[in-house]
Amino acid sequence: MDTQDEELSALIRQEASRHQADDRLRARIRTQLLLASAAQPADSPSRPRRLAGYHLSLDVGGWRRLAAGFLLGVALTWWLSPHLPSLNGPSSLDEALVADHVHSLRVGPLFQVQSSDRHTVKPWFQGKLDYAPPVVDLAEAEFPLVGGRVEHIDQNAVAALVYRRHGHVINLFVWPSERARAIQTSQIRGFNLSHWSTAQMQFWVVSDMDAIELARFAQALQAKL
Amino acid sequence: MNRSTRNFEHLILPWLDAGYNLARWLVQDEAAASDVLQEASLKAFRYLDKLRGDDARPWFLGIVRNACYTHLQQQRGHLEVTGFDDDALDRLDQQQGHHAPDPAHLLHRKQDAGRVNLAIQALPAKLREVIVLREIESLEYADIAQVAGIPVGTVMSRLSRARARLKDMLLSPQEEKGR
Repeated sequence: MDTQDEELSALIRQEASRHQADDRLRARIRTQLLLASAAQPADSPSRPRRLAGYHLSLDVGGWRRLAAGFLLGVALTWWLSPHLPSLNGPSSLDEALVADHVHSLRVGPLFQVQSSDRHTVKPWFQGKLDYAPPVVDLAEAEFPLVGGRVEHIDQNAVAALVYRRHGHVINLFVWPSERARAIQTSQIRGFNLSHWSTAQMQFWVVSDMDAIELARFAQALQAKL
Repeated sequence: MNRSTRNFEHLILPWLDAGYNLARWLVQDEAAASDVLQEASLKAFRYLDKLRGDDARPWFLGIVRNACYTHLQQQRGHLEVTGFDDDALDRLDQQQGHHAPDPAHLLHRKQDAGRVNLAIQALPAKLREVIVLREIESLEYADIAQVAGIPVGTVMSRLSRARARLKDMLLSPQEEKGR
């Protein structure tokens, strides 16, 4: 290393930015890992195909302890930093989707096309939207498709797909996206939301199911897309 | 607590900052870097049993790096990630006689705040990553080779190429005569 190399190294060490993961990102990561560990079907014989190759080395007790550890971490983060920009703070879009979810259940219609056959639901959207939403049935994962409708959110026509889990109704809103984003979750007045994007589409899920079930739904859906 | 559980807390979490720094330098966007780090952490968590030995840093940074390139590939217009021909770059450097690229004009005055950051940002991603890993994260050559999935010799040649470009942009001509 010549003297110029040393000069350059010193200059970079002094002046180049070393970016750091902030508390909010750390909390997001811990929350996601918690959901991922808790969403592993511990005793399910039909683990989704995507997970088959993961060779998880933790036993069930290990997962539970790990989940508890992450919960503690998340709780501590929230408790210690009340001034953080709210981790799961509702955005106006979140609010609009929850309002639509409630409206679809209280007033209806919950679906304009009623079918568990994706080859019936998907073509129904033709001519109603300027994109073709992916429609998958998740009956194998115990989230049967029941139908779909077109909703207007923020003055945009979006596809709403309806799934059921026992007594719960799940509204899945789908519209085009420009870039992929990792999954994020939030909660509004007891409703759980999660959303993520691929390079083509974004997916917003609203339900009164608990967060673990919702994570399982998201996982089952991602495995099929 | 079994070994894998301890491993994640003790082996991966300490390198979140290093991972974020690399992601931030590679994707050059705060929100995208956060998404990339989140994806990479989940992947590291799931594949933790694939880690050999106790040094998780290059292993984790390798996962972060791959997630960065996946992200960049999903974004159109990032031609620099479609391929990287070390020989072609050599020829280009020779033809141009190490002339500084455009951003150099911004960097002539030593007083410019942030000029070091600008110069590093102006490097192609595959030169930028070796500089960030070596000069900011202080990784050994062998670890950089593992992160970037290239031979140690390539690490060294890319480093020297990256340094030559940075010197052109950052060090004054008087100092260069001493070469």
